[in-house]
Amino acid sequence: MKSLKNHLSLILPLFSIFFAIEFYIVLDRVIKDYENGLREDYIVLISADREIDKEDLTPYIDVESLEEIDSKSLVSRLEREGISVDFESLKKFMPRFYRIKLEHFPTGDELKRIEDRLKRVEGVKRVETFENSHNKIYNMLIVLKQISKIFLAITAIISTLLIFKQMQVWYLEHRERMYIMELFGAPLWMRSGVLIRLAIVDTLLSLAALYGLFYYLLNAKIMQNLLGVVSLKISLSQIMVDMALLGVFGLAVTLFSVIVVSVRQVGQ
Amino acid sequence: MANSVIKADNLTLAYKVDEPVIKNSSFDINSGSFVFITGPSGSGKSTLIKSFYGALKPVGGELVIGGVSLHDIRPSKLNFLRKYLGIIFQDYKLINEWTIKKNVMLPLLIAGYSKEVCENQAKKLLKHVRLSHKADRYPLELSGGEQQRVAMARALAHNPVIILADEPTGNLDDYSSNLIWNLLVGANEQLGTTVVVVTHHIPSDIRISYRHFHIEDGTIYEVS
Repeated sequence: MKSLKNHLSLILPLFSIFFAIEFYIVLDRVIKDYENGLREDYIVLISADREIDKEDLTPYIDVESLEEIDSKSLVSRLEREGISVDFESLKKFMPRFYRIKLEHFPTGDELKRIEDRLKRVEGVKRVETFENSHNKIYNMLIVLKQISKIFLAITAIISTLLIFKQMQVWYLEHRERMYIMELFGAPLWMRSGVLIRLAIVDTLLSLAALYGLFYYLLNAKIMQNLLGVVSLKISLSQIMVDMALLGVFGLAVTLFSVIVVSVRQVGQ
Repeated sequence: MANSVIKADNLTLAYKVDEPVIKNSSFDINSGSFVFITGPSGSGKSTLIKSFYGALKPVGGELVIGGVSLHDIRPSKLNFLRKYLGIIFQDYKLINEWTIKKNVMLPLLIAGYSKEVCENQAKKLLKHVRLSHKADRYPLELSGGEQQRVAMARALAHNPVIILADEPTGNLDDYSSNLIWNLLVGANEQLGTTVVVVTHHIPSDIRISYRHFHIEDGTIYEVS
């Protein structure tokens, strides 16, 4: 029972911090994927009284592609709505319409700057950035990111405090044994042997528990439906790579804690 | 002529720099000697023995154990030196989470012997201290006398060059006291181990030639 308690008191903070970091990484990855998806769909429309090409815009904004909208298609739309139009005479007065795809999904402020700069381009008469719908989506992403950052920060603080507490417990529990071993000439690694084993085993158990949780969550129907709605995929192999990195991080934290406890004990 | 294994030259020991416990004392102890250190309570007997195993560094003078000066000794060298010492403490200093057998095995495990060798040696020593039947018990399940016998077995386990005993029989029953004195004398006579014992009283019936140092007012005298 005492042994289980000893393990749990390290596994819980480790698991919490691993979960928070992995959650943040996964959410960040999802948000980036979602941003990419939005960027693919997102366009800025401009109308101009002259022919515009990409080189006209690049001094002002980062453009991925510029595509002219066929004015015939606009007129045929009017015709479909029952409005008879003389295309040839209309064409003389009609501006040229362009669809601009940006290199990245802009922030609200960036969008305002892009609009201002596009208006400075010679010949550009009107710019439509669909600011309202853009801001709604973008703000939602920002809120999600901020929430995950706050969640990560709170969990990191709590977990760090729990690990500090555990270091104090280790110190009190193992001080006497380590001191006696020191008196008989045991080197530092031997005196810390029990704690090193505990740190390695508990880090691996925390990672196994975390992998189990993510495996369960990603295979749960509700999660699959949710990800399907937003056309996103989270791969377990990517999570395995994260686990390996988290394992290295976790071992570094726990072994550092063991060294601190062992060095603190010397000569006590 | 026997080699000196413990040599103090103007040795000063203190917990606070301006309050020395041992002042400017010089002596040396030869290999294979049996030495008693006596003195009233608080005279610095335990402080002196602590300095022999490097738990307290000299604040003045020099202290050399087994040819190694303890003045500015590095931790790795101190660990190396301690492998040649067998220490018996007044409060036993057994590891309570370990069995008696594992406690006795400790110096051998540190010395890097195989588990099998350690176990055989521990069994042999527990037989010597009449505790074979309690090999798998834990220290807190034993009486004070039994715990000190375990500490004795642990001190002898690795055939140390020097045994340092701090009040090894204080508060023990006659049976355990006699057993411990016999083992200390046996180690000195049969194995040539240098034995340094801090005690309040030298047993009157001890049959061995010994040297006697007395500590009073921070000074160490040899009693002839």
